[in-house]
Amino acid sequence: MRGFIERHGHAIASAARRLMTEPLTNLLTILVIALSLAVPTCLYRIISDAATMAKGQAGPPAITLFLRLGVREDQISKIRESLNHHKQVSSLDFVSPEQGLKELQHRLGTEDVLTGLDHNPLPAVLIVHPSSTDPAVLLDLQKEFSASPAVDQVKLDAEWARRLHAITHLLQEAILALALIFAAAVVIVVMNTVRLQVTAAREEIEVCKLMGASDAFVRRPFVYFGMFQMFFGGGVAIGMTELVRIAFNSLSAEWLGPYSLSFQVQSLPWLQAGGGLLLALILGWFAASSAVSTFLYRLRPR
Amino acid sequence: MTDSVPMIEINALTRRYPDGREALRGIDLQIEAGEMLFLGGPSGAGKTTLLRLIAGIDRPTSGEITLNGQPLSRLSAPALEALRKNIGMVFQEHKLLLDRSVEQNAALPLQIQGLASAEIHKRVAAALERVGLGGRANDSPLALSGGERQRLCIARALVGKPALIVADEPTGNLDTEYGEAILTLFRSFHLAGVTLIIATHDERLVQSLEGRLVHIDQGRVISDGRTLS
Repeated sequence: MRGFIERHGHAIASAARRLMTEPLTNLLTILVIALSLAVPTCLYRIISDAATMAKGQAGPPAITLFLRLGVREDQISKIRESLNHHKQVSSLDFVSPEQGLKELQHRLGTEDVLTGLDHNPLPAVLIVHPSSTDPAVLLDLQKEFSASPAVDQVKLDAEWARRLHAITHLLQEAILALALIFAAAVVIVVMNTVRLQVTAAREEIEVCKLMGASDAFVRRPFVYFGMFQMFFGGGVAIGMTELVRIAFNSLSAEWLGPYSLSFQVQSLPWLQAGGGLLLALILGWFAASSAVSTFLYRLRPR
Repeated sequence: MTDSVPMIEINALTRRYPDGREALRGIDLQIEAGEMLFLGGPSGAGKTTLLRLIAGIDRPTSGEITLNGQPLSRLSAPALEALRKNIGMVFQEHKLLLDRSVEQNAALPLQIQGLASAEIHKRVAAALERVGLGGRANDSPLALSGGERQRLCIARALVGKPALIVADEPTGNLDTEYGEAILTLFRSFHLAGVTLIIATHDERLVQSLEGRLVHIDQGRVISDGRTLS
């Protein structure tokens, strides 16, 4: 155990020494890594919070059930009872033909809407608020309600939900693709930096190999070096994301305030920030290991 | 004649470089454990090439080197690493790490072996003392003269207490005083049973130590005898 700690202690000290040998070059590399990580993170935060806000602004989707004319009160009560106990129904509003008529009169601003008619032609209406916004679930509910003999017509107000779902899904896919591209760029940047370090330390590596150093012994300081770069790059990226968030929120308040709208991007949750740093460390390990392994392969006896 | 297996057995060894030049052309040698063997011959004779093949740094074009009964060509990477840990190497071009101190350079083989820091410090201090660099532990190799660098290289080879020392022109840059000190050091290791293979032009070195002298020229063994001591 002590040997393990000492081996890794030496490797960490060596990596730190390398990091401090060319501080400006390493700082620039860390900034490139930070930018590459911060851009997709910022976009993800903004899109994710925008989708949440859009959902809130548009209100939950609703399914309107127009009942057949002449449906009796007891039948309506049974339907309401059944819908109130439905797993997928969050809440239910009932609009009687009389209430519908009053609302129509109110909207039209006249009480003469029934002129020439001997009875109220408006049907009883049930407005169902589903518990899910998933377009597939809403379509299933629409089919289910349409099958009821008491229901004349079902109107699903899900178009906006479908569009929103499609747009946020598309944007999230685009950000994922962007994040993958940036992750690949980060790996290449770290690989190249480590490759330069390895090339500069060629003689040292050769000497170590001549003395029987294992590949792991040679690789270890460079892997720590790559992981350090990614760790600091990830840390700076979190800072950058927070700065962008603060600036964005300030601009958002300035622009949307006059329209009585509010859109504030939330801070990156600690769990996500920690997960991101861990991912960055894994990428650093992978990039540095690959760069050193390629070099070590060329040193094998021939 | 003994029944024991030689420590190193070299059979029909050839080494051809990518440019087609043949550095070794069918070397046959047997080296017993504890032997002190000098490789003599002019520059370009193939001495360094032979040392590199014995240390497992390069692979032969044909032929085989067997070390303690194990053919080098069939050794796995970890086995080759273990072998190298047991060989002390003194390079003609020193191969010192100029961004590390004298002490850190000498400590490298022990760090590779995974020894504890306290043990490394103790053994390095003793090795540096033996080669006359006891007071220079914290200096940079850049502050050392050519002879001092050579002595540091020797200290680094000895510090791991190897069973085999392979040295390429170990006294080439040493003045008389330290040359004598290094000869004494080699003699003490020889007496302790360490096998030494030394490639050298240095007649003084060859004639001051008792051992076996193998002359190589144009990649072939041209004589195999004893030194005059």
